[in-house]
Amino acid sequence: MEDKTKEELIEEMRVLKTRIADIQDLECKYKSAEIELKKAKEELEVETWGLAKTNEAIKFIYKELDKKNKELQTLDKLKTNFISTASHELRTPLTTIIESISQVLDEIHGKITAEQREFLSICLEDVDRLSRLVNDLLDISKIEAGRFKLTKQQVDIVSLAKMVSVLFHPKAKSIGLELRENFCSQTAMAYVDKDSVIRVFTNLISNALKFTDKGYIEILVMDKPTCVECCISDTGRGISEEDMPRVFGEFEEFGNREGVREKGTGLGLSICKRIIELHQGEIWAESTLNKGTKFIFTLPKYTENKIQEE
Amino acid sequence: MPKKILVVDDDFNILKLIAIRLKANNYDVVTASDGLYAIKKVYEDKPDLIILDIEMPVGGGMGVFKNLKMNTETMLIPVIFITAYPSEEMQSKVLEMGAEDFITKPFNADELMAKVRKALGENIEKKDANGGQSG
Repeated sequence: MEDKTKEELIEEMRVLKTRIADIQDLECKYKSAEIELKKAKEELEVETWGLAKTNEAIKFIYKELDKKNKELQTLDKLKTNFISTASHELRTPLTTIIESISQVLDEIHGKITAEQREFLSICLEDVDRLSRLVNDLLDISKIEAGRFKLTKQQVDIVSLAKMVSVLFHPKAKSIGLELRENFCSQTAMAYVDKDSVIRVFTNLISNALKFTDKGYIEILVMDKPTCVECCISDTGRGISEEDMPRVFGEFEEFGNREGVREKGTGLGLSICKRIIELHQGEIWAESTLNKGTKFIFTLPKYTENKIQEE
Repeated sequence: MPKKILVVDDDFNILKLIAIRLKANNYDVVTASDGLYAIKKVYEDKPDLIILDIEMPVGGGMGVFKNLKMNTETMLIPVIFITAYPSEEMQSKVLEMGAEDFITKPFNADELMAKVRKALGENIEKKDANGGQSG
């Protein structure tokens, strides 16, 4: 062994000390990293636990959603079945009653007296009303159940209004009322379910005839830039301000009903509102007591864009 | 010779009432209260027209109709469907399948008779059993 000089030994010691310091430093860093790792591991464990709980909660929610979905499907099916069952169970006995009374009135089963005719006519009138009520109730059920399907097509509302007006001319004449037509253009093309819109016109004109004692009923159709606007106005009894909010309600009666010609079902205006709303239109009433009422509604215009949108 | 009409409905009262109405209008009437018996009566009595209820528990109206349309002997007999549940889809479907017409319960007697006469190719304006004009 070579004798090392004092300087060489000091230098070796210095290097050793540096290395020891380095190692101590590394040891310190290692311990810190270990602590950090432990901390991170604990946090990860907490997160994993949290995720597992969230996962459980999500599974539970999915299960509940699935259950609710099945319940909704069952309810939906029940609604459809109710509509068809109620329809059948109500309409079948009505058929028997109406046809039986009609046959006696037609004297198929022998002659009847004037008095018998009078009472049977009263029966037939009310059974007819009951039949209309059943139809209206079932239509409202269908609308609420989302089963009222609109078959939309291009329809000239002016032609449609003329056609409906012709049907009501005899009745208007028989009660001394004038039925006016006011069409602001030759045509007014809308994109609608034809039968439903005929129903709206029919209901509104029928109502106007019922509640107008003298004067006229006017059918107005306007082809506006963004919609077809229709108005059925009359010079009838009018509706008071406090009754206006209830106008489109179901089975609502208001105003002076003395001497009203025909009993309605109480659902006509409600059905009108629902039909117009299904067409994304608007319907509202304006009225002055003892002066008259206007029922105004809008229908979507027919455009190529409209069909593409649908 | 009066035309013969087969009326099919599971409701005995409606069956009876329609039969009375048709007889009062000088038609010969045969009745059946279920689909299977109705098919039998078609082959036996060879009616000129069939008034057929759609909703029947035994051999439903649609089944009877399809059966008649598949057979050359019976496919040309006009059929008027009668229903208490007149959905638009069902109406279009049966008319596309070849039904002559459709009537909804409760029906108006004049409407029924007008549809019967139209299906039989008769003049719609016709005197009824009591001598009055109807149609």
